[in-house]
Amino acid sequence: MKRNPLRRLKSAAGGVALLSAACGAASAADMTKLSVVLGYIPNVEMYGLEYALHEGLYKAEGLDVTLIPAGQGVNQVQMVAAGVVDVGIDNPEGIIAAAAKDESFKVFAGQFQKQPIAMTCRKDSGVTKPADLKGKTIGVKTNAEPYFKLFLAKNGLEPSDVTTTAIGPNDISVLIAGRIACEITTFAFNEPRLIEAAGVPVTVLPLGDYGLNAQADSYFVKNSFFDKPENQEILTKFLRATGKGWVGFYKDPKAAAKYVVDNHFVDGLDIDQQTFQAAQQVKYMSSPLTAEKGILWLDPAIWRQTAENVKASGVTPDVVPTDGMLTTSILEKADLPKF
Amino acid sequence: MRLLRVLGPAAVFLAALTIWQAATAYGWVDRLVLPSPISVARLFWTDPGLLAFNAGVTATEAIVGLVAGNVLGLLLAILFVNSPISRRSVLPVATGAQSIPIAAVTPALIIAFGNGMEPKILVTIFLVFFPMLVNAMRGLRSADAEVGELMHNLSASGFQRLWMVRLPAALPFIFTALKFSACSSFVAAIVAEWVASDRGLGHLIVLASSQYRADQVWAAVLICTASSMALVGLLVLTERRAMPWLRLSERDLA
Amino acid sequence: MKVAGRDPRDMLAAIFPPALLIAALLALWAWLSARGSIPSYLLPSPALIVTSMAANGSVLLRHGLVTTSEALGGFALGAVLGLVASIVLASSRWLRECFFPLALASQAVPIAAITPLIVLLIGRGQPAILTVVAIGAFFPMLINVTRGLRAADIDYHELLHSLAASRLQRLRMIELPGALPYFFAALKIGASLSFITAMVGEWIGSNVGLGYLIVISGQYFKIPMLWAAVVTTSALTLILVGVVTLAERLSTPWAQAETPP
Repeated sequence: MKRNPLRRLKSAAGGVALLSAACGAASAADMTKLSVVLGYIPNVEMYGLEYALHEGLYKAEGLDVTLIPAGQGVNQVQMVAAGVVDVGIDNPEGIIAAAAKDESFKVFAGQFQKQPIAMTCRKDSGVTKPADLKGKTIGVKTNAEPYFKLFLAKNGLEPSDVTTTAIGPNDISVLIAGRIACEITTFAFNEPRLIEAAGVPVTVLPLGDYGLNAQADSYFVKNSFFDKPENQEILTKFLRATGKGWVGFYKDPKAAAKYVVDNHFVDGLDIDQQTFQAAQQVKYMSSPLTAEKGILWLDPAIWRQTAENVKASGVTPDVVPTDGMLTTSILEKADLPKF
Repeated sequence: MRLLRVLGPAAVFLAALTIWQAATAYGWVDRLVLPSPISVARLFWTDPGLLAFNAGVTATEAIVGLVAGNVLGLLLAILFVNSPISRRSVLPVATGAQSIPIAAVTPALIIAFGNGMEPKILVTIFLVFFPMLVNAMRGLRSADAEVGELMHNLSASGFQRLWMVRLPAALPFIFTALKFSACSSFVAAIVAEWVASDRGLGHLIVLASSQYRADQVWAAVLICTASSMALVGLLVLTERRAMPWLRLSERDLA
Repeated sequence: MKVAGRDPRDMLAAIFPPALLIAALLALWAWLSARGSIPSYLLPSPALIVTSMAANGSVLLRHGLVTTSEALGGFALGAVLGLVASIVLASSRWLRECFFPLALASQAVPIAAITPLIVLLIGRGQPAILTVVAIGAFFPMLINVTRGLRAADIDYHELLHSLAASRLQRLRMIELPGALPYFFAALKIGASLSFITAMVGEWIGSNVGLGYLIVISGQYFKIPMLWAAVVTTSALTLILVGVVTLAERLSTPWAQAETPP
């Protein structure tokens, strides 16, 4: 990473040099910079990284990490591809779609071991499995359209078996109002909780159970970034500190939720919802693989399935080969905890 | 002079296109966000049906909203000019209503009115109506006080006053508002479609963005721009016919 | 005693009718909500929204300040640049022929489409939003004022021409004053538009501000909070428009005379 001499002067004037001289720790100018764009806003979904940043775990590894929250319009894949950030956290479907457009990425960790995205149905609609969807009205978010068609196909349904209507990206009101029986896509533990809090019991159908599994929130960089050995070192340190950050979450999800809400990383969070989310989320982030090898581990079989789904839904013309995109080298060196 | 009118902007436009092509070819801007102009143009050739269908949907929403919103704005402006009490009570409230960020309210509109074209048309009307109201009111009241006195002396009726003095005086203002609305109506329809729609240019932009089909995104943007420009061009032609006196003074000031 | 050029009694007369109308509308709304005709996940009762605003005052204030600074800053920047550009364009026929059509065309490009591009170039956060708002304010100002500058009565131009007035004198004495009504019309429209642009920009490129607050409240189904943010936005926009109107009244007193009945 480049070092700007002017920056050194400025930080000295600011008194940072004084502080670091007193502490004997690495001064601001000696730390390596790394910019990371999160998979979402800094709520409990991104707990491990926020904890690592605020409790100085990255600093202990000599890294000056900047965490950038994700937003609606400019997404993480674009930011990494454009070189605006070093590391991105995003869902595999997007990474694969971009890879089909000749962008070359390297995925070095996968936060979720099971797809946390689901279809949520009103309990009173009686839908507990895909076959029950026949004849019902489904609310489909625009981004979910290709995957919904695939969902139907994989579960023995024709598009003509259901009625669809478009709903907004954050909308749950239409489901609550009873105009639709189910909506797709939702987070498995975010919207369902909110809908139930509004007085409507729901049934959740996680997409991973119905042929659409994916390792959501995968960590990736550009190939050109990864090819430099010094960057692989940096990523190892980053992952090691991040892994340590996640330990508290696996041990006590409730406390993790409290940490996120108390520290006000972002406005608008609700402690009940975050606690519920944390308790559910930990199940989606654990698997036999993580128990054996370590958290954030990558599963090539899931990625292959995701790539096939992306092709089958028409988003890419061919199946993007994912084996070469994944690497467990950083995971192995980072010595991650096993849960 | 006619030649310059066309060549001037055309030259600037071509220069901009060249910079755009270079930017994507040399990688100054990433392909996932800004595709090359050539790939966008190619899309019109390879998939015209997709673009035409969605453009048609958005165009309908935009034009219906445009006409309805402007007519409403003009009528209200005429009403307000003649009735100080209604102006004083409704205009501030209308200003307040205009300040509501309509994009935030669109989801509620969609729940209330369903998911067809109606909410998008309503959003367009909302966005288009107030500029017309403001401008038309200014225009209607800008008529010369002296001419107003003259009409009064001649015992002209309110309607005659409106038709012969106020409306012609308001025309430049009305056309300014019309040109604004020509541009913003397409954008309004598209923003409403972003929220929830299964067809239209806004829908295409959202879907294509998530799949990194940047060429589709920018083709949609291009269509939106071209349509707005076509509308404005139409208005400019109409304006020339409606206000020949203005053209004369403009030419003389060259 | 006159206040800002107006008799206080006139001001009261101006406030009373709309206040009455607003009170009536609020009562209707509250009644409909209480009856259950309007579901609360669609539009909560006024009381609920006010309570939410009171409870979340500091959050609303913080995000409100961010959005306001983006809207105002970007608006001021874009408006000033637009004003300068229109003076330049009005003086040269050649420049006008080349650039005015393209300026009009740029107005037709949806700002939300280029926001991602700008965010990628400048980076997420306030500078990007400011740029987007500035661009959004620039073109309307340019278009409106160019029109205004050219609209002055030809008689006045003839008069000053015969008095051998310089270009600058003509600008100062005829064109600028003649353009003022157009300028203020553009300013009023631009003021409200700049808030909306700032908010749309925030959806796309930022994680603070009222626009963000509205989205996140929607996502977590905190509907009263969502509407509290909406109301805050409206209030801020209105204040801005009010300020512009005041400025207009003070600088163009001649335009305020009512045409006789």
